[in-house]
Amino acid sequence: MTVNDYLKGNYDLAPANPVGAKKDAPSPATASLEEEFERQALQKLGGSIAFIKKSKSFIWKGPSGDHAR
Amino acid sequence: MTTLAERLAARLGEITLAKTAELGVENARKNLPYLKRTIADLETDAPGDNAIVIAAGPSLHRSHPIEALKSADFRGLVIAVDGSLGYCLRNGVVPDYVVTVDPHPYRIVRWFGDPDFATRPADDYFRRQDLDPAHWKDEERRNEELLELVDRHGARIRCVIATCVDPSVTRRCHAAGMELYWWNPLYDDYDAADSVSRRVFELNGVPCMVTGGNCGSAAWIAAHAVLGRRRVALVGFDLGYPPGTPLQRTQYYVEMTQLFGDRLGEYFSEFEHPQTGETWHADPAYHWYRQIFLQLVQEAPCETFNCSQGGTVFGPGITLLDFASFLKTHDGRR
Repeated sequence: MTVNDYLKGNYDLAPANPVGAKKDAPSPATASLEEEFERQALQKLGGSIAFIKKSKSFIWKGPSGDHAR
Repeated sequence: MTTLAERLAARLGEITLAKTAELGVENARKNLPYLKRTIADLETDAPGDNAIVIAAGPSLHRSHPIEALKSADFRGLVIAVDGSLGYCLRNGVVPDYVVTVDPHPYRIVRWFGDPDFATRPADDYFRRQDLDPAHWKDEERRNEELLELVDRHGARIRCVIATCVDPSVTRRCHAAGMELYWWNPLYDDYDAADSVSRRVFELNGVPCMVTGGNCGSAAWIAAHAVLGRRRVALVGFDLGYPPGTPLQRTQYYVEMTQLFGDRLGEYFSEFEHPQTGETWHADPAYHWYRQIFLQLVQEAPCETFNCSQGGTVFGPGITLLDFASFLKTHDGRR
């Protein structure tokens, strides 16, 4: 008897190589780990200030202002 | 397939908005007592077409463009970013403008000389950065030197200052005699229901300006969109790390080493500079800034000359030129 004989688990594991999966595609478990890894990285990263460019203009002078440049 | 660095860069817009918007609005509220002029007051400023933006990238200290600038009869505008102000003043150049935007609570005031340096939290940011090597050589003495230089020349410098900056930056610039010209960063879509941009505009009535995500890009935008320059030269505008940079001297080194471990190499993108053939590295933040800049340069009503002699900022719409040639071509003309 080995330890493995006693460890039956209490949920079904996803198959290591799902049927139809491309050979180089990450498994769902790997993809999830990668997403978690990226999420943790993003928690520590950031630019100096937010950025958006909505119109041709670089300046917004309010709802009634002109967008001169 | 996208790289890890590209995937992280693609998310930085939303991440940066989340991290800076509320702090920016709060600082805008604290800065209200100092609002007298805005960038709208600069739009009819001195006539002329040429400007030089002195950003704070490592090429500034590799190629020393200030020597060429000092020996030229350049009569256009000289615009420094906060991180290059000390470099300019130490080398005998008082810029016409300095631009500042980052809302960090205590790091940015160091670029102007921090009166509260002794009581700041322990921070190796400046020692690790290649932005201005002077800052990691005897930091206390350099801070004292910068305090004196900014106090001596502040009255000749106009500060293009974002409302989101920490009030310590505002107080420092004000105390040094700088005229403050305010702008709100354009944070997000002003037509959105819960727009931060609109909220801060309603708070202070100050025009909002596209940022480019960082101070160097904001300075370039101010040069053409506010000051009306049609030809803008960039120096020290690298958005990357030069070859041979120790990892310890990159932003987020500690955090990223802990997280990435053996995968740290995936964190950087490589760019071969067309003029020098050198390979520069961009972390996700620089990668994001670079993508933004390449987009904006297509829409800008100015010619853009990158005279940095290095970095990652090259592509359609950007003329790579050595700085001496720019000065020679545009010398003497406003």
